[in-house]
Formats: sequence, structure tokens, C-alpha cells
Amino acid sequence: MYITPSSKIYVDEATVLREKIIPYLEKGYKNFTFNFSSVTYIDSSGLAVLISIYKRADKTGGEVKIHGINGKVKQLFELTRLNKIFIID
Amino acid sequence: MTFCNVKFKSISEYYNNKKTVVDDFLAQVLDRNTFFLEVAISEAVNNGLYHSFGEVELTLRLSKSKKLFIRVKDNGTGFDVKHHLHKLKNNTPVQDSELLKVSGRGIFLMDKFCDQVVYNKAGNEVLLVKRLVC
Repeated sequence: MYITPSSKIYVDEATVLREKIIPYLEKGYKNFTFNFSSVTYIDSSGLAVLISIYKRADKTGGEVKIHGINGKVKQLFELTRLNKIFIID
Repeated sequence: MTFCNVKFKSISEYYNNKKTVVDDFLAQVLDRNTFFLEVAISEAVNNGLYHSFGEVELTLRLSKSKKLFIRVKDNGTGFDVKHHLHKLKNNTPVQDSELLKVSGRGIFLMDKFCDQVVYNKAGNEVLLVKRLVC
């Protein structure tokens, strides 16, 4: 499944993202690719949602990719070492 | 402008109405990208809203010595600061064993992006300090 999140993922946007993805996880979708090429903001609330999606996908042998991550957002992933969890390209 | 104060009662009120005031203030006092400071402030605000009984106050003040003081105060009962910080010291969110934890990054990020993070005893007020001169 290919998802393009909002350019700024604050708390509310993170909640909306989770609510959009959960039904697909429940249907059995397990591979997710997030297009981060236009994302210019994310904080721990957004990171938490991505991690929770990863954990559920990983349980069924799926994977979470993050495509197009750049700039300060990329630095944030590196600082939190979440670049070790997600497949980043 | 060296002072900015906003009060809000919900996530939507802060992010839809009040945040632009804070962003304008930061743009004025910082001559560089505000991303990391914006993250630190959002972490403090989100924690404050999570623990509050309905009101959070955010104050930013630029001192003459070019230190930015950011205070987030909520009207909740706080949290066990000592225990939480001790736990964080021993198990940082960037350790391999902690990477998949969903929570716990907020305080870590505030600490990373600010020069000082100080809580009051009750845990319902945090002061972030950021030196703006190199």
C-alpha cells in the first residue's frame, strides 16, 4: 500500500494517519510504503504511529518503507535511529 | 519582540490557532531554520496537553544574553519527573532494545534540541532553554 502523508505531521495528522491505516492492517495488508518526499515536519507523535504500523506489519512478515525522506526530517530519523527500523530509500 | 505568550485548551486550538503566533515569534528571533526548536516546543506542548485538566500556557522569552526561555505550564497534577528521567537515563529511546517503543521520545527530543530542560517538582511545568548565539 502506498501512502502520501500530509506535509506536516503534527499530533492530529498522526492520529488521522493511524486511523486511515488500521483498517488496511486489519484486512491483512502488510507492506506499506510512505512517500515522505513532501514531508517537512514530524515529531514523536508521528514517529509513534509509524512504529506502531511497523510492529503490526512486521508480525505478519510485512515491511514498512519510507521513500523520499529528506532534510531535517531525515536528520530526525537518524537522530532517533529509526533509520535502522524502516527501509529508507 | 522579545516575548510571546499563548494559552490554549486543546490540540486543535494550539495547532490551528495559536501555533502561528509562536512560529512568527521564532521566525523573528532565529536567523536559521526553526525545525528542531519547533519539535522541542511541540513535544512540551503535547505532553502538557496530555497531562493537563484543560489548560496549557506557553511562554517564550528572549533574554538580552540571547537565550530563549520556553516555558510550558499545564494545570494538571504532573508526573513523576524523577522516576521518568531516571528511567530515561538508563534506557534511552535510541538503544536497540528501546527502538520499537511507541512512547518516550518526547523528553529525549526536548533534551537533544535544547541546552537545558528543567521540570518543576510537580512535573506540570517545563522550562526549555536554548542559547541562540554560536
